[in-house]
Amino acid sequence: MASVLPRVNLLLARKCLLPHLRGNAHRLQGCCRTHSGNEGVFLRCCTTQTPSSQPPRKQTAGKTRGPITWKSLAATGALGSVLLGFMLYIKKEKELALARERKRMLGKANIGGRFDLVDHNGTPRKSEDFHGQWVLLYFGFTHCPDVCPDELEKMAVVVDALDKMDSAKPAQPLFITVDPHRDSKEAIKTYLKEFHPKFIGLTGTDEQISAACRAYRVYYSAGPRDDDDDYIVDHTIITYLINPDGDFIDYYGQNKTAEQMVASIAVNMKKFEEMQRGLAGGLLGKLL
Amino acid sequence: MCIFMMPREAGEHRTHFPDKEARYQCWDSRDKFWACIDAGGTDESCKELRNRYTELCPSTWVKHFDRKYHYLRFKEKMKQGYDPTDTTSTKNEG
Repeated sequence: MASVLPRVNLLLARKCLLPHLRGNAHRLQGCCRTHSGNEGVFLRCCTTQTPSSQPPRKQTAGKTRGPITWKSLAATGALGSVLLGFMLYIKKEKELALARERKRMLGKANIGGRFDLVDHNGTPRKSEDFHGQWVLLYFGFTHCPDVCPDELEKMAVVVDALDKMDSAKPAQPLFITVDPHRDSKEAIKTYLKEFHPKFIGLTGTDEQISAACRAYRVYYSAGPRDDDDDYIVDHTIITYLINPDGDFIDYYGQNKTAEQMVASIAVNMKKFEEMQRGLAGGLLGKLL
Repeated sequence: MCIFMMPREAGEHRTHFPDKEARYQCWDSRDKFWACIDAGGTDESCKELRNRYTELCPSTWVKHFDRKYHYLRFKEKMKQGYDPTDTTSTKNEG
């Protein structure tokens, strides 16, 4: 035993002292403690280059606690994840709002707007009166040879189809005359009655009609008068889809069938509902 | 002589427009006349149909439909290969 000890001591001494001499003392941790046991005195030397495999310097046999424990790490991690999740949620809301704005600007600029007219019963109607419901708007005139009747029939079919669909909201059909000189409210009432009971016809003064047409970029021009003082008004042939916020959403020309219109309108209604839901969900983000 | 040109109200303009029934009658007579012409007839041979057509439809509508008919025939011809920019073909077609 006695003969072994010095050799062992030398070995351990080399291990412990050499790093100091070589300037690698920082690699040693808790080195060269001596323990007195029953077997005698022996040196305990530990070198490590992987700090993670060693418990932290200050911790000794679990008697004192440092600021960093597994529990605190877990708590921090949990809090961090919650904050990260919240941040991502806010970011998503912002992106949704931006997408909404972008969609509004792209190609939808400058179409749609206000109008102040009178309906076929003589009641004044503003564009705001129709907020809260989907609107299908057509500009035409009662003396129209073929196009307006065709388009209005198509609108009637579309309105009925939307009424029946569970996945779609009902739409309010509107007719604005481009011939206010001839199309009195009585004339419009008689005209529209034959297409659909839900139809609301609007007329007004020259200025009011002109303003409404300008808002919707509708071209109209009364043609030459005949011997019997009759004339045809040349005009843009488009049915406009307007959402419950009063914004122009889509348009349908003569080439679109009623089925195509119904499908497109249903999709637009769904998109609008999703955006509304997204908006409601993002209220928390707005409050903060 | 066109009954549809009589205004109902004493307004300055013709406020009475053809109602749904009148419209269908007008379009029907127009279609019959066009069918006659398409079958190879001329204004002479289809004269009766033409007269009925011009009676049932307002004169502005007749003018409008005549223009439309020529336009539709023109489109048909183009589908069959007629090139309107080809100056060697006769100009008085259709």
